Amino acid sequence: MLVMMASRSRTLALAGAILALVLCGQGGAVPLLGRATAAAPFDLAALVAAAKKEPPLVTLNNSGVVKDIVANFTAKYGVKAVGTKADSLTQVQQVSREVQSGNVKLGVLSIEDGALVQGRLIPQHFVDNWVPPDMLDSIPKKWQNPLVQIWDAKVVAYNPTSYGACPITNIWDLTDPAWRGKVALRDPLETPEEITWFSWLTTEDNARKLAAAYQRRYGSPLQTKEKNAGYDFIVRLAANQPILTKSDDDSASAVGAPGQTQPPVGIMSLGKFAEAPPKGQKLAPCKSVLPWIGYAYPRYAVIAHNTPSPNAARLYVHYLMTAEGAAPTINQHGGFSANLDVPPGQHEYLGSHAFWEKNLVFLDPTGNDRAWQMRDALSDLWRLSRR
Amino acid sequence: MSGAIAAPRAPWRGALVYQLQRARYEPTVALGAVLLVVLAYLVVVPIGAILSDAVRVQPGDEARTGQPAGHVTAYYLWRAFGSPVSRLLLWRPLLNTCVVAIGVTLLALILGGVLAWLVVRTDLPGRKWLAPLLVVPYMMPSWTFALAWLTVFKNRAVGGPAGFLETMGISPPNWLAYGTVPIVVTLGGHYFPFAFLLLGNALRRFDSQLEESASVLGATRWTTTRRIVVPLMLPAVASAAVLTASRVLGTFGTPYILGLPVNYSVLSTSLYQSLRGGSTGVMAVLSAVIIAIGVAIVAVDSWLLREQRRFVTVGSKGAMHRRTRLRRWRIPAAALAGAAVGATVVIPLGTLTLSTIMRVPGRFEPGNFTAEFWIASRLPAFVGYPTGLLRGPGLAAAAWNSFRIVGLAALLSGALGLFVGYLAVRTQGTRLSILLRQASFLPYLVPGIAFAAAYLSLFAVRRGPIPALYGTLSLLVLALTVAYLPFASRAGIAAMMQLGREPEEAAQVCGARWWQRLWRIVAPIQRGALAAAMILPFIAGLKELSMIIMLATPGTDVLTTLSIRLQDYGYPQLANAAVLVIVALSFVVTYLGQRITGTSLASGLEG
Repeated sequence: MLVMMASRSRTLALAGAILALVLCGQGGAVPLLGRATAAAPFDLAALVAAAKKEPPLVTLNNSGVVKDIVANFTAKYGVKAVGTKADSLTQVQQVSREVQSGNVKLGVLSIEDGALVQGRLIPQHFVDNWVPPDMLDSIPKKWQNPLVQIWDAKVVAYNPTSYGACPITNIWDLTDPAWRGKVALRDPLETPEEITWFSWLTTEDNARKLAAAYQRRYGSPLQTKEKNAGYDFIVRLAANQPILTKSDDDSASAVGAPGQTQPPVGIMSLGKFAEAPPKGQKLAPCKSVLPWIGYAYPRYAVIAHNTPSPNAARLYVHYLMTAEGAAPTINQHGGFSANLDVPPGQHEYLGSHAFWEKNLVFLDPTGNDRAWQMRDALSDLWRLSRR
Repeated sequence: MSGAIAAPRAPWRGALVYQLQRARYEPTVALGAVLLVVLAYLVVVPIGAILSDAVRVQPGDEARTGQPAGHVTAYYLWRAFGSPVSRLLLWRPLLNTCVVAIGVTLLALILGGVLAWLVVRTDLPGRKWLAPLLVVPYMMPSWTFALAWLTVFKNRAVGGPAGFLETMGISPPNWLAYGTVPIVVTLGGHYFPFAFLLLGNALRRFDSQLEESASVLGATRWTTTRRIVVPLMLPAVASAAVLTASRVLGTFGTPYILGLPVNYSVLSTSLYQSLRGGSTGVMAVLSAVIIAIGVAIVAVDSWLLREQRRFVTVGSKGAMHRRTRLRRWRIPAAALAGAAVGATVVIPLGTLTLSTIMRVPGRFEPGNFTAEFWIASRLPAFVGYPTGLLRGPGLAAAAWNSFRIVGLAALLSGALGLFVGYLAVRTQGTRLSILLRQASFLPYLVPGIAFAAAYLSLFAVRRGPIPALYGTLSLLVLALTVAYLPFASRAGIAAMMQLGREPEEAAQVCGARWWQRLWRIVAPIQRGALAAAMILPFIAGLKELSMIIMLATPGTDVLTTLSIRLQDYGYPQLANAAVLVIVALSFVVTYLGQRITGTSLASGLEG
């Protein structure tokens, strides 16, 4: 019976898609939704009409702001949608199992694990990439496959009540015995995004910067058994008994809980700084750490293969790329949209865009293939280096 | 009707037609065979599927193994048993599992045994009140106590809001806050009611004249204990030990909450992490290990039960149950029993309740108390659950899912169990009857978390006419139904044993068809048994976590997964509040169940 229901909803979806095509044909010379060239007009109204006939859109998002985004989306277009916060591993599990079983319920994934999206979900046809045709020119080419929705950042944070200024000035401080057991970060084995960051640290260019920073910190060049300074940093960080948390919220409260004399520092996403005051936490980002204060990472938007609401999914992706759709995330997290037409926001906690470029490692989609190939080895390196 | 019998064309054909005719009126054998096939598919095939996953290349692992998907490989076995990370994936979790299982079993036996003796065999004041209270810990979700522990003892070695003690300036050491010690204590506090009930029942049947005769014959107290009490109690002790150990093997919530923050894993949490990390092959290997241990434990149990038959206490009407007078130990013993209730029920629930009304845990200042975690219409910093627990739609949806899934599973499980009982009893003495009993008991050997892994593996894709069920509620319902079948079919067999064939035969003589007999005679008579067979799975399902967390998708939260997810997001007040809601529901349902069936778990123990 369930199968029948699923196939019926698929039939409905198909009917909706055909209808959309017909409507599109009337609106202009668009042969297929989404395959339009940048020059061809993009018929948003047709997409909305088609989306309204589909089952409610189901979307997962690494961030809890999805509740607000979905509510605004439904208010604007009258297209029903359900949004749930889910981490990358959960999203990957669900979409791959749903597509394999043929019971696809998901529509759009807003997911941070780009290496896995590019290395596995797209090649195995678990998700499809779709770039809004009217935005092909305003989204940089290198951010289009898979489509980057928004840039967020994770930076070193400290408790300003306990320390007057950020006690971390060099990234190697995090591996120093002085900070043993006092660095909070999300468990890399639970958060593959951290492993992607590790893979970026091991590129030759970045390893060189790390080695230079080491020399500045300790006065002598780094002696290491590992392949380069990047690997060495990972091993030392793992061995320094970091506080591994299940979420950035936990990292934030480890660092920012009031009444601590020697609180830990942590690496966490920008959203935590906005959430800190209402929770009574004291939290501030470090603004000067050699060679970087953290890393900028994309959140991608991809569509589940064979989703029952393909037009609603496209409409939602389109909405995410508009100023309105990006606003809740930017206001909460302080990141910037991959659509460069969207004003970058105030960056209350991290200053200008130029400051990002200078002080953060950018986990560009260009490094995803490398990160995916290295993932197992780096995960095992992390596991085995823990004390 | 008679024509077919009257005109047989060939002898074999006549026999077949006759058998078919007979089957119309007495279809038990045919139905039994069909049921056996269904049970085999629901119980045996999933286990086969997961075992095969352990030695086949899983999709996505082609690059790692250098072989195409579906090919036979030893890669996962090597990774789990021999690779450098095997120590972290399997060996250390295995060791931890053994230590925890032994520790919990010992603690539960000692606590349960002493309390059972006090309640059943002594003149302990207030024992009438105590007996039902001592069963309460088992009615709460197994990780309730763990959350309460964390609320008090959590230190700064992990993230998130600190515990009460830390806030007050006392920093609990790691060994007290996480890992073996708290896991053993909290699980012991949850599982000791097993030992209490089993040992209590055994003690109740124990004839105190045996001890008295021994002491008349000049035996010392020690000799009496060693030669009479211990041998007679051994089977009950062994059963309690086996039951506790096998539950601990599959438990997930407590080691997840108290172990993982410090990288302390047991087999169940290691299995869950493999699932999350997408290492299906390693997950299959770990499931196989858990199943193997589960089978070994039950094998030991059945061996011990065979041993038990060597002792037969001939109870007669003269059996006496004289209570030991505690005299000056009455008050200390009562204090001890009261402390057990306090430590396993009152303090955990009190702590959790307190934690849900404090902004900063452990700061006892008037301004710090608030009802906002229950009723606020907006919690600004909690983006994942932005309202008080009772206000958000999340709780209502999860509660509805819990009732829907668990209710349906309990209904199916109870009905199926009774049906298995009916068929097994009606075909008594045949091989079919034995196979039916065995197949319906088989899920008992497989700890829930491994069983769920097996279901994930079997129903991941469409197989022939069987649709893929991943992501549907049917998968959860089916898995829970089968997991609770052993209890339901036990109850079904016991109930059907007491119903003779005669009422049915009388109806048959009157021309009633088989389904009419079933519907109008068997079902009404067994109504009470059916209710009993459903209520137990329902209560168990309401607090089930380990299976559901494996099978449910983020969109379909039930109450237990909602609580764990809130804990993961770092909202302990909301997580604790959700657990309190589960506890309250569990109490209400248990109370209603006892009212409906007129039974009580602890009834009769206090004499």
